Amino acid sequence: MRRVVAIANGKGGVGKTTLTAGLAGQVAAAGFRVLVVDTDPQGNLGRDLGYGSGDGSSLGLAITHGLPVDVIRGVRDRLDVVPGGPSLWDVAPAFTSRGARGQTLPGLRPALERVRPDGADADYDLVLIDTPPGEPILQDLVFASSDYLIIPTRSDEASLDGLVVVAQRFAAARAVNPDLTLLGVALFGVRAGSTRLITRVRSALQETLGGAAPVFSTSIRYLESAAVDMRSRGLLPHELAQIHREDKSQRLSRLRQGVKVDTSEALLSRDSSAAGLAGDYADLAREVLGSITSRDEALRVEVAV
Amino acid sequence: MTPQARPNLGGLFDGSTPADRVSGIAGRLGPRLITAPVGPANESPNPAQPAVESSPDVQHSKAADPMSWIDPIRVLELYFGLLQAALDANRQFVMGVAGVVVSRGSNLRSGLGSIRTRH
Repeated sequence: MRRVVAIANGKGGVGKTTLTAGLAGQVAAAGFRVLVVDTDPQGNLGRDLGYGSGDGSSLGLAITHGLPVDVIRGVRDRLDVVPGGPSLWDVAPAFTSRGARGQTLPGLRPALERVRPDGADADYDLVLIDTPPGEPILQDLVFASSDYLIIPTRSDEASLDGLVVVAQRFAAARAVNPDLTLLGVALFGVRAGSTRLITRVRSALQETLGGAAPVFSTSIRYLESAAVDMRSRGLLPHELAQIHREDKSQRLSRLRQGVKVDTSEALLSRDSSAAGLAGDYADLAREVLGSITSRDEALRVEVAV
Repeated sequence: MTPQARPNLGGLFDGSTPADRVSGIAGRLGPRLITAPVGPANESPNPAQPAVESSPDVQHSKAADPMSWIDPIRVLELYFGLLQAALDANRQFVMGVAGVVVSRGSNLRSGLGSIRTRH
């Protein structure tokens, strides 16, 4: 059975898209079938996953008119994508104008329910939806279609304001989708080794959440050089770590042969940093899957009782 | 974040506090098309034991190993690069000196030749 997870925060620049791509890649690499849906009119997910950007018109028309949605198959092994793009700006006005006339729209859920993995009898294991920060209607549509929510946040006060916005939107969405559950908050973009800062921010977040959901114990470190390497080459963190391993052996072989090293194409990040970043995503993916499993089991027990 | 008084959002997330707004799509969505999940759940890998494994390199990086910051291949590249630069500089210097010596020698020879001719 598929689990639909929205990645959202009311503030931009907190790592939603990067986290969506990194988690999706890691989970797909672990053997699960994953669908990523980009509901952001900016369509930046294409840069992270390395596919050409689209205009989002297919997804927009699926939401407003119930047309079949286009899927980019095989972006990675077991990883498909529904691309976003600027046409998604048209969704909110369509809701406003047709809502004023008392008409209903299909929304996101039926569009996604029709999407199935190519050539597989079974369904996707995980559907991850990246959301835009400043588009309430699109966020409401995503929340109405999701089972779980993950909130990425940074360590600054402005990110906490984004948490307040998303909390209000979450509570409102429960009227439409009572099954929506907050899976946890993920701390994104902190300096590696900033143990005191991470402890303090995690404690502040736990206080803010009031025990409603955990703050994931894994935080994703921020590495400018790795971010540039990944976005310029369309690589995911675990792929960058792999490239580093291959690059290392190639450089060693060039040294043995006495061939001069061309540094113009060299990676900006260090291999140990890239491996550390990939490790963060692997750990977070493990936590997210574990959290989904334990909540599913708790639900099963609740139903049985 | 500083440790100041924070809003408690727990109630909004667990449903005990009502939202101060209504979902922008409430009452505007049509009926769902498919409700039953497709495909038996046991065909998927077991999420209870997710197979997300850290690579040995990743695990190594978790340890506070100062050697992980030193890239031995980069050190070798720098060493050979430096050696090559020194050899190149040496070659340029020697070739420059040789050029000066050869041109002065040739001037000297032509000067001596002209003196001999006058005598």
